[in-house]
Amino acid sequence: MNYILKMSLRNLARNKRRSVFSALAVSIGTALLLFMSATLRGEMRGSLDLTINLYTGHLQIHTENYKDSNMSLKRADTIENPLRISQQIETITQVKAATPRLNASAVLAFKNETIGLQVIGIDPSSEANAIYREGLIDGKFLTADDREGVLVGYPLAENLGLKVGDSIDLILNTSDGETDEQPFIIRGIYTTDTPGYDKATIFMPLEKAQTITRTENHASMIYILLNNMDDTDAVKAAIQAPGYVIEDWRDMNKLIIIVEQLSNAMMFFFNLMVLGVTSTVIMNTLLMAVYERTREMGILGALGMKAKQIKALFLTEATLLAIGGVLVGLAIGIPLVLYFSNIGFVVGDIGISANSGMMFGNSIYPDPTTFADVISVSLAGLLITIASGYYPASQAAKMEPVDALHSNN
Amino acid sequence: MEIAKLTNITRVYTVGEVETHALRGVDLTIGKKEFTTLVGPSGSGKTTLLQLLGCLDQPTSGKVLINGQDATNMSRNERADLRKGTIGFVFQFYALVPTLTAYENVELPMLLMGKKNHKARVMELLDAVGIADRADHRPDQMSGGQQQRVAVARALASDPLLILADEPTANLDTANGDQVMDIMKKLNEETGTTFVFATHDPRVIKYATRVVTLQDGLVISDEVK
Repeated sequence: MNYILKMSLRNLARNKRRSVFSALAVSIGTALLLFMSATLRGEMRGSLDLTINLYTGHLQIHTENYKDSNMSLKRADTIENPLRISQQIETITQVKAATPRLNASAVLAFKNETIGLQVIGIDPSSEANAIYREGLIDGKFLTADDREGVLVGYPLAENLGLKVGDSIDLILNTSDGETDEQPFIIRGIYTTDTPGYDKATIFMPLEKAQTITRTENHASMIYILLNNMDDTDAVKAAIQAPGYVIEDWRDMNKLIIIVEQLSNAMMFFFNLMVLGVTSTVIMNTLLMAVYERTREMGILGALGMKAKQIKALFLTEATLLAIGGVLVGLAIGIPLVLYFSNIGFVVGDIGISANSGMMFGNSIYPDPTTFADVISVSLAGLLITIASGYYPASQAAKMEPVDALHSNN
Repeated sequence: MEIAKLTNITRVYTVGEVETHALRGVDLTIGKKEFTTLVGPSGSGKTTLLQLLGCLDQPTSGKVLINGQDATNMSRNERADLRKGTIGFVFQFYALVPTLTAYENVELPMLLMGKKNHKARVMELLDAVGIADRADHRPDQMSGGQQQRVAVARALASDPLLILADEPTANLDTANGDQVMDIMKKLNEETGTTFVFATHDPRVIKYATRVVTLQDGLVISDEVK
């Protein structure tokens, strides 16, 4: 074994507890970086997936003037004969489902409570709405010919004490600018585990929604899900919908993409903070070692060890601490990420409404650690730790042997 | 044939605004096979002179020649190179590397010189100082006398022309001190290695073939026995 490596190993073993705690600082930093980046990425990807699946779809067709924010029901702002268009789109092989949806703003009245929310008219048989069918926790799903049934979200039902079979009044805007009020029966209670969405969204069959809002044979949009989102551009190019606008998930989720970029920037500063703390611990440990071994440096210098060899000795110690710390950090961090990426951790309703254009579930599922994560976090941990050793190593190397020999340490 | 030649050496230490003149113009020549002691009271300049002979320090003025090479203005690394093959040290406080065994301490100068196949030579040196059976022991597992014998073996490991010893018996009892001095004297006689000691210890002085006395940074006597 190279004598520098052997001496470095022995030096680290000289004060085992200090070496272990120093390496542990690197380990905790490494594990924390892995976990935080996986959590942030999981949160952002989860938000994007939810927003696509619940709100925007991979692609959406609507009129040029239609805006989700105002849910306009004017004839000019809605798509005519949407079923025909959606059936055409469903013939494209990469399309999982294409279905008309009618969005209307509404007020729910139950006992003495009134709540503003959105009503979405859906085709109950469409694969695109499977997420609500599968999320049914009580009652039964809608059928296309149901004229008085609705689905309500679990948080809304819980807040108002609603049960399957209860009657609620809905006041909806209509295409001619009026409002219409009708009683509806709660057929089922669903959850998508997205409190901001579930507490503000009620579903009813498309035909009934068209009737009450006086938008017969019209829809707000054609909502399109793909089997693989990588096919977005190809499908977008293949769709024939003259006179309408086709937007893809990137166009419709600019906010999420911006928030993700912002989060990544914040993550960068968080990483700097973690690595800064870690490097301070390592630097402190090695400076202590230099201070304690000053006379020893003098002896080594007297024996003919050059400054660069003394520097190499301390840098090797820093490298060994870094390697040990990073490996243990990966051993802690990777299983931790994998465990939580499976079971998630509950954050509850974080209070962001569906109207913001971003959906957040009540659980965060960290994105499983990738090889790129391991490489980037390991490199960051190794480089920062070794760099932290540079100053103490330089201090040791620049000692004159004659001064070091006269030290009391 | 001279191993070291110091010409008109001064060494001034400056701490703040205070100057201490450790050496005030010393001329000293050390010949081959000498067994020389530098004696004098504390503060007379013995250790400073030894450090200059060992190229651990540089003079304020004057000239230092070691084995014919002018070391006066050598860089730190050049001096380290010169020390490696020419000079061995034995310190008062043993100065072994605490994490290395006796064997590894003796081996270290050879590794620094890039020597290979040195196992037999290391054991030979440990045997020469009577400590071969402690080869696997670390310094904290050995007595002071044993550690100082390892230090002597280490000083010899690079086959130096000159060994400098600063108070080598100061921390040893009489028996161990005599034992260490016997070993060094024997090595001097058998291998021709030159030894220079800085000491107060009469036990060391009695072994010397030459006694150089310093006082207030000057050589006041130079006596060959």
